[in-house]
Amino acid sequence: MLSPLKRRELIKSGAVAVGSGALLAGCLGDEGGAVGEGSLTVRQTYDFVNLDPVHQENVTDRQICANIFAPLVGYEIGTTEPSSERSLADDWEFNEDGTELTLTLKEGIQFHDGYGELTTTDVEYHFDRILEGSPRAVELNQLNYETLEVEDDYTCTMVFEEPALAVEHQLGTPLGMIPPADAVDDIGENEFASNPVGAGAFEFVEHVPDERTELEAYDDYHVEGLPEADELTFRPIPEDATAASSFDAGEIAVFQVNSSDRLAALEDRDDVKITRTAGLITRFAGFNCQIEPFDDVRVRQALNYAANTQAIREELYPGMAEAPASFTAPDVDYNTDDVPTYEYNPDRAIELLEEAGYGDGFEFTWMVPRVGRFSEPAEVLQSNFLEIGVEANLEIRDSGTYTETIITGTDHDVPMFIHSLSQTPAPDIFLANAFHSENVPPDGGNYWYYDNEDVDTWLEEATTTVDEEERAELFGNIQHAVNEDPPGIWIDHEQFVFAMQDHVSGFEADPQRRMEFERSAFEE
Amino acid sequence: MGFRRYVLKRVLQAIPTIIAVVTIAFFMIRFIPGDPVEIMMGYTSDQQVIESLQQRYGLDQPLWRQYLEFMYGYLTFDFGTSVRTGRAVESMIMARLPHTILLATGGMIIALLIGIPAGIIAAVNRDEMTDDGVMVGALLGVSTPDFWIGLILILVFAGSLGIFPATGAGSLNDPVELLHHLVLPAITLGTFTASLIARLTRSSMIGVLEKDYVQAARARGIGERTVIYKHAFRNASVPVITVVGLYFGNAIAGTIVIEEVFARPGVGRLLLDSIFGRDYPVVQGTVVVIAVMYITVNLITDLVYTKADPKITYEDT
Repeated sequence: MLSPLKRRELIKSGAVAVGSGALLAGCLGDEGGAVGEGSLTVRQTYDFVNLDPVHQENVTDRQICANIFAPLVGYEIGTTEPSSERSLADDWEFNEDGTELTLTLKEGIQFHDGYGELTTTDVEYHFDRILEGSPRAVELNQLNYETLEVEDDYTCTMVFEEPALAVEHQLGTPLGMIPPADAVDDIGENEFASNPVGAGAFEFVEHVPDERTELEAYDDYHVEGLPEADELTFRPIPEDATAASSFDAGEIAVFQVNSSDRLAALEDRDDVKITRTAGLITRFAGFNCQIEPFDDVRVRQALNYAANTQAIREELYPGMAEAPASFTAPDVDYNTDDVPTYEYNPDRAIELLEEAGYGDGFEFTWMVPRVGRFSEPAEVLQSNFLEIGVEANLEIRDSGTYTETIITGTDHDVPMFIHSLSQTPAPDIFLANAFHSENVPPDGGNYWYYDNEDVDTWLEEATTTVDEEERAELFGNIQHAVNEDPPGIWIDHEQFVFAMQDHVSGFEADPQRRMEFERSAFEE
Repeated sequence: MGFRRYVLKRVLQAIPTIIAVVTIAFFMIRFIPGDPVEIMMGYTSDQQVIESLQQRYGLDQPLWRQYLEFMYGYLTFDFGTSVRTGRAVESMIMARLPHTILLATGGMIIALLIGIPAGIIAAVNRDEMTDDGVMVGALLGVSTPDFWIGLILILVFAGSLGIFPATGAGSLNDPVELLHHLVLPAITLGTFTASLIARLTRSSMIGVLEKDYVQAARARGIGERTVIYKHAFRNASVPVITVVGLYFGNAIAGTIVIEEVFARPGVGRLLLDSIFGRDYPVVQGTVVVIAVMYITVNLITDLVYTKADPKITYEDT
């Protein structure tokens, strides 16, 4: 009796012979090689742009880089907890006032392609390139050290002007992914972007533009016994429906699920595993707090009470949206639930509007990008607002116009917008960027032109103190204040959901949407 | 006018067309909202950083100067550098162009293989069930969006049956793999044109089949197959060639959707990604390449006319 696999191959062969002639019949095999051969194929939406850790900007680049490069401070897979095993640094320690971070590298870590051992020369070279070539990192104060003191081949100290505890987390991002200095020089910066060399679990093999990026297991990876898979291929597939069929055909082993309908169908299947986590991201409707009537906190609170965000999460994004207590995502350090919240209560909303002198309601224009994940919740909120007499006229704009207007701040007079902001495990940088009154566009991310003196003070204190209890209290105060005096309506923390073939193990959804495959394997 | 002179004349005529296309592409993309550097740098960027990058890519220059430098680059086959990837535009295009040509050609072959026989069969069996069946099929083919056909083909032949791959284009060094990846996208691309060709072939054949010389050929006892294919179709093919030429050009542009749906590398997909990324140099380069291909195909079509219909001379065309 034929095994299921052989039978399937036979059916395949017969069908092709009939459908496409003998010419095509011979070529059928294990297309994509995703299943059962130690070769793992992963779907991404787009092809990468730049695999040089210094220059990458988008999710695709970061996801591939996380497998080619090893970070100075790695995370436990699927968490925001630092893992010494996965780090290039054996030890990393701040001095008492948090202004110096001493890194001690593990000895004997070898780069791919015979580029030798990792030393502080490579670290220094990488940081120099960031400071020169990626001013964004500096601008965001992510790696803005004053000097780098190199003690020997394995020890160096980053010296900061002010306490910089958040930098520990930044060293887990591409900012801390160290390529060999010689490789960048040999290959050239432009070429390196598509022929990267690192010290990660997989070595770069080949890139066929818009078709695939192939990596293979690195035998000398510094974590013993890993990676599990022999090959790792990233395949850019723009269409979700195509990706789903490709998954069904076994061409791809892992892909991110972007729609609730698709998720529901996949969850019903026995041959599919689902892994999910609340992302470090918050989707929100934002007010311009300087513009009437949104300069009145009661109006902002009223619209929070009017907003049925639970319906948005349950009806529009079932299984893919986490209820937010505050602006910060659950996995952010010092996240607290001890904040004022706004249960759906249109009557309370009307009371607050009356108190604010808007008992007859009002009308305003709401700029929304032509992107489903924003326009759909905006339409629900629009109908919620209408229930309390507030008429929101949606002004749908293409993404380019929207970005130019709201994000780069060419127009400071747009009353309301809708957006999502990614976060990092350390709240220092993104909270200051979002809520400090000095960080309004175009230089900062305070798109709501929020101006709260207490929050400014707490942010300044929290980001310059090293006492953990004090930091927890200050960041708690900030989250409390930002909910009490809300500059926006927090809709959800988007869930990152990944589907994988049932025989794939060791892959976990990650709150920062990293895709790390060193522990991924095929079960018998 | 000799053949060579005619070709030269047509090539020279194409030059102002290409210049016009390039010029329009240059100016149009600059009217799309969103600064490429700001988009590249993300949402929060320092103005100094933006200015330095604008300087690097020449985006701080007056528009007329950018235009002149850009035109000079094209004359020397230097399409510039991608703002997003830092790679040479011409190399990015050349890496994808073979797949686009292959897809457009495959789509057209499918269209011809289905469209012409279907049209002839319908014409020969005019007003019968076969004719109605072919015409209903053609109507469906014309009316159905190609992305939908693509998704259904993927769902059935890749997802359910697993006969063909859902995505990718295969290796250029492996013809069998290339063909295997080409079947579904080529059918998707060719369906619309096949339907048009079938309808056109039918109406053209019906007109010709009523001509006296066809009746005379039958009266002379020539076999029906020879009458249809040699006498009738030869004369009915001229309008079909026109449509084939026109739609081959359209097929090149149509690959944008197909490449996106089937996740195939190609010039169309590169163009789409570059438009969203405001990658000016790449958009311009791909538009020029598509325009040149379109013009070339039309030139070839005109040359084929003269072979199909000796009445058409180089002067006429």
